[in-house]
Amino acid sequence: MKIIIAIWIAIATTFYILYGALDEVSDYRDTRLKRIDKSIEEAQKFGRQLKSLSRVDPLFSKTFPDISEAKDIISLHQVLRLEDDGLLSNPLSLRVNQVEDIEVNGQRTGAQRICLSNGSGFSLITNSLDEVIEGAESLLARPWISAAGFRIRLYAGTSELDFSFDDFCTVFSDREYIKQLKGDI
Amino acid sequence: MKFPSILKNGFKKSGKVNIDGLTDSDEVTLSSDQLSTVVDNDTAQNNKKETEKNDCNGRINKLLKSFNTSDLKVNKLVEAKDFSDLALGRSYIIGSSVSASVGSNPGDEGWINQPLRSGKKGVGSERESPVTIIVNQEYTDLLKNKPLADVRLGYDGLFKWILKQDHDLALFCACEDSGFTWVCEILYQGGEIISIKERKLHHKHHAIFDTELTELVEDVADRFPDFEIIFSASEIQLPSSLSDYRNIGDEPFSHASGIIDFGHFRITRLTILPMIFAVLGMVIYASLSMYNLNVEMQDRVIRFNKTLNGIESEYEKGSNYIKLLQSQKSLIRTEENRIEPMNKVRLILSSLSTIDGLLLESIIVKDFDDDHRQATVSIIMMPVESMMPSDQIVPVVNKLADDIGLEVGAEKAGIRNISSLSRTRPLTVATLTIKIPKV
Repeated sequence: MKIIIAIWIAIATTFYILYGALDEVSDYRDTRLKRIDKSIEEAQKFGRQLKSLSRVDPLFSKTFPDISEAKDIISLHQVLRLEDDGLLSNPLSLRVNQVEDIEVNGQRTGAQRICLSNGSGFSLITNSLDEVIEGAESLLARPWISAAGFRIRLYAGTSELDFSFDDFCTVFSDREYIKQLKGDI
Repeated sequence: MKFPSILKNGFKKSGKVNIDGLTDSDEVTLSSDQLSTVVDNDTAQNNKKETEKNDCNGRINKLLKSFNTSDLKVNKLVEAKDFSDLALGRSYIIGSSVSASVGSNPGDEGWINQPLRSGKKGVGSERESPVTIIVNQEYTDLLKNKPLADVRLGYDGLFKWILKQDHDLALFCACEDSGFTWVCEILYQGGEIISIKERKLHHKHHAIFDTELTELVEDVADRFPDFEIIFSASEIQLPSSLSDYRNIGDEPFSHASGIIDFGHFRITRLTILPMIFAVLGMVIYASLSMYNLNVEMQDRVIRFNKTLNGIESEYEKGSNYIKLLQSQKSLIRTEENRIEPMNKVRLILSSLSTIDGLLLESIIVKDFDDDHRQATVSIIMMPVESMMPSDQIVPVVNKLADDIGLEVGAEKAGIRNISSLSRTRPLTVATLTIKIPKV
C-alpha cells in the first residue's frame, strides 16, 4: 500500500511541478506577446500622432523666421520690415530687452523670444491715425511678432501723434537648435 | 552437469560462450533455438568418437563443456553483503531475507508486508486466494542509498511462472544463503498455489546435502505423485537421484514485477517513469509553445515593422519627439491671432469718428493676450451748459456700445482746461473703458 501511495505522491508532485512549470511557460508566452502587442499599439498611436502633427514642422519653419537671419541689431531691424507696413523707427535706437527659450508646458519648442524697445516701449513713426492702425494691424498679423498692447496719443489741433507698442517681442525659430534637440531626444 | 535439460525446457535467454579454436575476439552467440539444436545433438554424446570426427559437432561439444549455467544466472540478493554491494542493474530478492506463505498473513515486526499477490489464476484473485510475501527490513534498509537500483522479488517471478502452467506441479527453488542452502517448496494444484514452505538445508558441498534434498523432494513426490517436480535452482547441481527432474534455472525470475514496499520512500523506476513522461511532456509542450511563440512573435514583429515603416527614426526618438511637435503646434496657435483686437480698435475709432464735436485724445489697448484685455479711450468734447460732464457722455457711451457691440463704461468725466491753437479753454474730458473679450 505504501508503494502505491508513494507512486501517487510522486505522480501528483510531478504533475504539480509540471503544472507550475507549464503555467510559467504560458505566462512567459503571454507576457512576451502582450509586450509586443503593447509595442505595436504604441507604435500605431505614435504613427497616428505623427500623422496628425505632420504639418507642424514645415509650418513652424514657415511661421517663425530663423534666428540666423537676425545676427545683430541691424539685421534684426531689417527682418522686421517695418517700412512694408508704413512704419518707421531708428535702428540705432533699438535695443534688446530680453532673450528667452520658449517652453510650452515645460517642453522646449526650439523657438526663442527676443523682446525689443527703443524707449519705454517700442515707438514707431507714422503720418496719420489711419496709417498707425493699418500698420499695427499688419505688423501684428505676423504670427512671429507680438505685443502686450499699444498706446496712441493725439494732439488736438495738430496732426501729430505718438504710437508705441508695449512689450514688443519677436519669435524666431532656431533650426540648428531644433536639429540638435531632435538629435538629442 | 545437467545443463542440457535446462536448455531443453525453453530457457529463453541466449548465452555468450567461448569456443576452442576461435580467437578471443570471436564470440558466438547462441539463441534458444540454436541451443535446442545443440541439445538435440546431445544424444550424439553417446558416440563421442564419431562426434569428434565431425568438426562441427566437435566444436559444439567443446562449446557445451565450456558452457556454464552460471553465465545465465540472474543477480540475486540473498545475504547482507549482496544488498550492500548492489549495482544499478536488476536484482531479485530471494533466500532467507524474504518469506512467502499462502493466505493473508501479517508479518512479524521487522518484516515488511508486501501488497498481496495472487495465488490463483484470474483477475482479482489476490483477494480470494492471496499469497503473502514479507521482506526483512534489515535488508531493505541497506538499499536506502541505492535509490535507482531495479530490485524485484524472486517470489513474484516464481508465482507468475507457476500461474502460467496448466498442470499440477511442485516447484523447488534453491540458493546459497550464508553457508547453507535455502530451499523453497511451492505446491500448485488446480490452478492455485496451495502451499509454500521454506527450508534451510546444509551447504551444497556438504556431504549430507544431496540426501537432505532428495528426501525433501521424494517426500513431495510420494505425497503428490501426479505433480510434476520442477527445480528453479541455477546454483545447485542436483544429485543424480533427482536428475530426471526439470531444472528451469532462473528463468521464472524474469517474470517478476517491480512492485515492492521497501519500508521507506524509494525512487523506483515505477515512480520515476511518470516523472520522466511528465518532464518529457513538459519539454515537448515548452518546445511547441516556444515554437508557436516564435511564429506569433515573427508575425507581430512584421506588423510592428510595417507600422513603423518610414517613421523609424522618429519612433526611436520616442514620445518626446511628439511632445516637441505638440509644443510647437501650441506655440503656433498662441502666436497666430493678435489681429482680432485690432479689428475692435478699428470699430471703436470708426464709431467715435461719427460723433460730432468729439476729439480723440488717446487710446491705449492693454493685455492683448489676456482674458481681461481692454481699451482705454480718452475723448474731448465741447461742454454743454446746464449739463454735467458725466451726463454729457452718456449718449456717447450708448452709441459706442451699440456700434461695436461691446461693454463700454465711463471711468471718469470732468472739465479740464485744454490749450489748443494758442487758446486755452475748458472742455469736457472723459475716459471710457471698453472690454475686448477674447474670441
